[in-house]
Amino acid sequence: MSTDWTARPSATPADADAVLEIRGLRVDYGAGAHAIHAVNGVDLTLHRGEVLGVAGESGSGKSTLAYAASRLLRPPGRTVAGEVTYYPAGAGRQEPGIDVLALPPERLRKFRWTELSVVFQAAMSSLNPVLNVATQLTDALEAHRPGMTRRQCLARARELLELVNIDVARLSAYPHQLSGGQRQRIMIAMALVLEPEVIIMDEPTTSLDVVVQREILARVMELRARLDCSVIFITHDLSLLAEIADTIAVMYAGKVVEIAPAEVLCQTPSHPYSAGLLSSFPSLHGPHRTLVGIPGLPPDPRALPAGCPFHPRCGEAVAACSRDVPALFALGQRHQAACLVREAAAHAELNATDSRQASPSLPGRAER
Amino acid sequence: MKAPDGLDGVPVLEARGLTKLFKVRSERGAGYRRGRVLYAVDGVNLALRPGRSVALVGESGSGKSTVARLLAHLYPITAGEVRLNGRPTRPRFARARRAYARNVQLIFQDPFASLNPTHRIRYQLTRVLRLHGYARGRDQTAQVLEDLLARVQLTPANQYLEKFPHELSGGQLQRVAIARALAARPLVLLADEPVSMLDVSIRLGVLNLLAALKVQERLAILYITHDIASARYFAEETLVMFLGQLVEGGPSEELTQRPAHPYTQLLISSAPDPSKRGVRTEGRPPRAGGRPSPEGCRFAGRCPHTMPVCRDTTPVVSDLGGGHWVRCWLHEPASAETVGASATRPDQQEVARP
Repeated sequence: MSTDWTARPSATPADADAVLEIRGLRVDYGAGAHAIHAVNGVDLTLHRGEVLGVAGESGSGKSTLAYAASRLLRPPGRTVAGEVTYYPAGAGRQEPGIDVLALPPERLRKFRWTELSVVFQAAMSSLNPVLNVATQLTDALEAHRPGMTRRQCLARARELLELVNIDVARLSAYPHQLSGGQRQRIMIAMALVLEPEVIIMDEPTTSLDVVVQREILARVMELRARLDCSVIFITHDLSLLAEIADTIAVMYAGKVVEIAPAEVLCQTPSHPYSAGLLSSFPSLHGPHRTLVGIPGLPPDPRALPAGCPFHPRCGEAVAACSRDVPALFALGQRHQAACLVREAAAHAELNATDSRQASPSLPGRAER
Repeated sequence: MKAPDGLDGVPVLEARGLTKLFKVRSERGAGYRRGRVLYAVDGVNLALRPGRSVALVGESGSGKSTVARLLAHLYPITAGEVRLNGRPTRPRFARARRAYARNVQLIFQDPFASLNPTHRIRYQLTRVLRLHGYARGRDQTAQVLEDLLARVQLTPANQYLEKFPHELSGGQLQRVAIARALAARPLVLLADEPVSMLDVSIRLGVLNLLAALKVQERLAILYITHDIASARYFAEETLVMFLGQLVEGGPSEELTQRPAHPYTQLLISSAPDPSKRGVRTEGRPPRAGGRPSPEGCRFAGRCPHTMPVCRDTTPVVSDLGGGHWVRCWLHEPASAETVGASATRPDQQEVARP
C-alpha cells in the first residue's frame, strides 16, 4: 500500500486471530512497460472463522488475488511483490507463520488441500469429465493420506456427499450427469476433503440460478459453522455478500477501495463506488424508484486513469482525484476507504468536532 | 388470457397455448425411458403490447428461453400459435421468415457470443439494414448507422463502427446487439437475459436503455430473467414459469408484493435482497428430489404445501383479481368440484396434445 499516515502501525498488536494475511500483494500480467498491474498492492486479513467477502467487477483483480494467494497463478501472471502469511491453528503469534509465497514445491503440495483449498467458478470445467465423482473426491485423499485404504476413502467421500446434500448413489455418476448446482456442490465437497482451515471460493454460485444459489450458500454457512473454517468469498454480487459475509472488501482496478464489516459497508458505504454498486440492485421491496447505477465503464486495466482509478465515473470527483492516488484511511473501527473526497471530509469533521483527538489510528490491521 | 387492468391495448404479439415437445434421448442411469418426451413449454399464453414490457421469470431449465425461441419462430412449434397483430403466423420459407424477423427481434444473453467476432461493428449493423432493405446509398446508410448507435447511447458513432467485438466491453457489445435488433425496425423485442452476463455496475444502464426504448419507440418487450427483483424494476407485468408452465402472472408490483404461488414465494425468498442487509441465510428452501409427474402439479415434489389433489390433478388457473392469476390448488376456492368447469374456461383453452 502507498505510504502515508494511514500506513503506520498502530498501538494494538497485529490481530491474534488472523489465519491468512495478505500484505502489499502485487500481481502483474506480462513484464516491463506493458505489464498490467492486475493486483496493485492489496492488504487483507482473514480472521479465524470469518467469511471475508471480496466484491468487484470483472477486471478488478479479485480472481487474480485468489490465484496469487493460493500460488495457482500461471504465467504470464507473476507475483511481483507482497507477502501471504498463513498462521496454522494453535501456532500462536510467537511463531512467524508460514510464508506461502516462499513454500518449496513439496511443502506447497502439502499446504494445498490440507490447509487451504479453492473452489473455482466454472464447476463445469473444473471437474474431470472422464472420472466419476468418487474418484475425484478420493483423489486428494489418496495423495495426502497414503495410509488410508480405498474403503476408508470411499467412506469419507460418502460422508462428504451427505454434507453437501447429494444422494450417495451419485458417487458413480460422471460430471455430465449432474446438474450445475450438483457439480458446484461436488466442488465444495472436494474442497472440504481434508478439512482445510481456509477455503477460497471464487464466484462459486455465479452461473447458478437463485434458488440453487441460496441452497449452496446455506450449505456453505452451515459447514463453516460446523467445521470452523475461514472463507474468502469472491463475487461480483455485493447484495449476496451483504447477507453472508462478516467483512466485505470492495475491489476496483486492482485495489481494495473500501473494507468494512458487512453491515457497516451496506448501510453506510463510504466510497462512491461501493455506494454506486449498492444502489445498482433493484430491490424487491420498498418504493419503486429509478436507479441510475454507475455511469461509464469499468476501466481498461491496460490504461488505468491517473489518480483515483474511479474518478472518471465518480460524481463527486474533485480536481485532486485525477492527480493523487488515494490510499486507504480509517473511517472507524475496522472501516477503511480509499477516497480523497471522503478523507478530506473526515478530516474536516474531525478538526471541527474534536481538535484534541489525534488522527484516527488504524486498529492494527493496516500494515506491519 | 384476459388483459389485466391497466395493461390493456391490442397485443402486437400473442402466444396462445404455445407448446413445445422435445424428444428425449434414451439415457440409461438418468431415469429416462426410451421415446420419452419433454414438455419444454406447455400451453403458454402471453400477450405483448406496444410500449409495455412483460417479464418472464423462472429458474434455468424452466423453458423460458424456449418460449423466446418459439416466439421468434426459431424452433418449430409443436402446438398452439403465435399471433402477430392478431394474425396467426407460421413462416416457413426464407422470405416469410425475414418478414417476420423484421417485426420480432431477439437479444441474447451473451453479447460476446451473439456478435460475429470476425466482423467490424459497421458490417454487423449494415448487414441487417441491407437484409431488410433499409440501406440505400452510402450517405443514407452512414446516417442510419449513426442514428442507430445514438439510440443505444454509443456516441460518437465513429468511435465504435470500425471496432471488432473483442475491442468492446460487455456493456458496449450488448448495446451493439440492441442496435442490431433495432436496425430491423421491429415491433417486438425478445430480450433473453439481456443483462445477466454484464457487470453489476453497467446492468442498470442497459436496463434503463431498454426501458427508454420501450417508451420512445413503443416497443413491446419480453424480458426474460431469473432475477425477479429486476422484473419488478423493469416490467409492468410479470409471468412466472416453472418446468414449462406458467404458474403465476399479474402486474409486477402486485405479484412481487403478494406472491400467491409457492414457487414464486420461493423465488422471492431466495433472491438476495439489499434491503435485507445483514440478515443471515436462514434454512434451506424446500427442495425434494423426484421428477414431476405428468399428472398433477409440477411443483408438487418441491412444494411445502403439497396436498393429495396436487399429485393427481393439474391445477387450474384461479383469478385473484386485478389481473393477478395463479395456477395452484391452494387458491382454488372449491378445488375438486370445479376441476371440470375451470378447465374449459375460455381464457384457458387446453391445448390438444399430439
